[in-house]
Amino acid sequence: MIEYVPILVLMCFAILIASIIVGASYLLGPRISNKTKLSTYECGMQTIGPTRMKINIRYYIIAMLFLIFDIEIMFLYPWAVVMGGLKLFGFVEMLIFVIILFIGYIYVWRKGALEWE
Amino acid sequence: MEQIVSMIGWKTAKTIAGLVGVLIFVVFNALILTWAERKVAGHMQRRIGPKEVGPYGLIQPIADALKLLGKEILTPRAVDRPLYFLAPILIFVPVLVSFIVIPFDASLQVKDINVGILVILAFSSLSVLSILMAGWGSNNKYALIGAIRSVAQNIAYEIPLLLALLPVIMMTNSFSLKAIVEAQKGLWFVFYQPLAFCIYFIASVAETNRTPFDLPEAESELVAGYHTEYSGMRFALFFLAEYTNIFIVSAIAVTFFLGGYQGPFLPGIIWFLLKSYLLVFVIMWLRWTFPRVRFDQLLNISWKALIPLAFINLLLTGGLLKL
Amino acid sequence: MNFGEIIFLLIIIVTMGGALMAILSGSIVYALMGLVTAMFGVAGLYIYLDSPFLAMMQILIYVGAVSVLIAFAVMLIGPLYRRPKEWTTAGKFGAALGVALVTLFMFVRFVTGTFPRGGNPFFDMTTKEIGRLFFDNLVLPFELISLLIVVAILGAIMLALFSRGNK
Repeated sequence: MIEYVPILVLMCFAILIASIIVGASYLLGPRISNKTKLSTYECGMQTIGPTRMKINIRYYIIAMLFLIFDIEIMFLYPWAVVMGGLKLFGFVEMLIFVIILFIGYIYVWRKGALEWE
Repeated sequence: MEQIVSMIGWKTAKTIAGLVGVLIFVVFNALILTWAERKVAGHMQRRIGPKEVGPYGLIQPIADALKLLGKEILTPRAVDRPLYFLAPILIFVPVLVSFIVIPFDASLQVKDINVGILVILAFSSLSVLSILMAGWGSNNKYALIGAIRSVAQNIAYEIPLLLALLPVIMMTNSFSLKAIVEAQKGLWFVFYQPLAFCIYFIASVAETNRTPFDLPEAESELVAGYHTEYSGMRFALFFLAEYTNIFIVSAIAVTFFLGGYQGPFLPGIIWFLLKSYLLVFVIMWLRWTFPRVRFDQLLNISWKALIPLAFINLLLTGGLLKL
Repeated sequence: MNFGEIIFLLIIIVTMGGALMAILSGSIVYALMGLVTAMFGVAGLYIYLDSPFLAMMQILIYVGAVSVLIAFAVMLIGPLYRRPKEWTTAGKFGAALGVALVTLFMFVRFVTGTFPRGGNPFFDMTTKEIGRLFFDNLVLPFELISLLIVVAILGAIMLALFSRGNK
């Protein structure tokens, strides 16, 4: 566990330094503001409608497919790291794993879930 | 000094020195890259770029940084304050953590963690979150669209990126970056895995939101993407993270495919930096060569070309290693 | 209290704080941020138990992918979504009490020393051992995982097609 302590330290460091930079800028920079200056930027016009609009469902599908593929790849990583010690059977096993997934991938493609119109 | 070292132990002292070194390097790298970006852009367009401040304009980035420090740091009224404040600070975390495992030289590495590459991959997926926070927190249409595009692009290209690194791990049987570099004593992996290198490079350009994949900040339609509402030093933090990311993806490419710090005559660190900055230069070069892709093209490149190619390459490598 | 225990308590505080935020926050976006913090804390726990591979997977999948999925779902619903009214103060306090009890339980176990600590040989499993296990004893479950993932893909596609209104 001890070898991961630098990560924790650097995370704290990063947050600290970033806060200091922003804080210093707060102290050094001018603070003159008015109503128009602090309004939401929309090319100089009045903001029209809600600023947080609904997004296209396609983004959600991409996220879903990403999650699925991500999990799949996470199983490939332990396999790759023991590759050297495995017999041919290990490769065949992974071949079956990937081929099953490839069928799923082709299905996704054929059904048009990857199209963006 | 020696007393302190003997008190906390040699190893801890070395780690602390490494951490400080990382911080200094990140700042210097960002300064050099902002200068190089403008210089490269200038020469590509038959201009000379910055030249007034210092020799060849080398002091220009420092002048810019000081100027930004003195700028007003604006907080628009409509923002979601906690998210808006936290986003630029949190984007700094993954960027710094990645440096812990990168081997600059045979002995110049903060910590050789045996799941090294996974640390980088896991932490770089954190930046997606701060982009979402920035987009949502800004309460601005451009920021939100930019953030969502950026995230969609990041996750779409993360899959080919992960798959392109796998063949190298199969050949070395290790996640440790140092072990991977050591395995390239003979021939660099780019000669065994040219396809994986190409896939990795394309995906990493997309991950860093650089042209031709800079849709999240397409200035002609989205103003500046997710950092539209950020000003002064907050904007500078995003900028710093972006430039450091460019270096990190280049450094990983060098470590995995181009032999890391290995090379004749010169010391390892020189080779490492030389190769890394060469790749950084290529990324800058791309910016002034290719037009921006459309969003459907962007996703098609990843889902329909890079991912199947990466899978085929992976299985071919596996087959060749075992037969 | 030694160095390791301080880090353990820090991780627990982050995890529990995130979980509390996820439960108590009125805005769904803040609840998501709390969830992410809790997930991150769990990754820290895995590292504490000497399972770095699991920890990295936890960050990569839960913090990097699941949270994005949830965030996109939130944005899909639209901006004005607030938490339903049924979340009364009593419910919130009940949830908080539950978290507090679990924390207390874990703290007691930790102090009395029966809680698994770092360096326990049971948890000391390298990535290579995980990989070997997949190809020795767990061949069939491993192959079944791929089928499970394909089923998940099919489900995702069904959702996509229904949303478009054609079959």
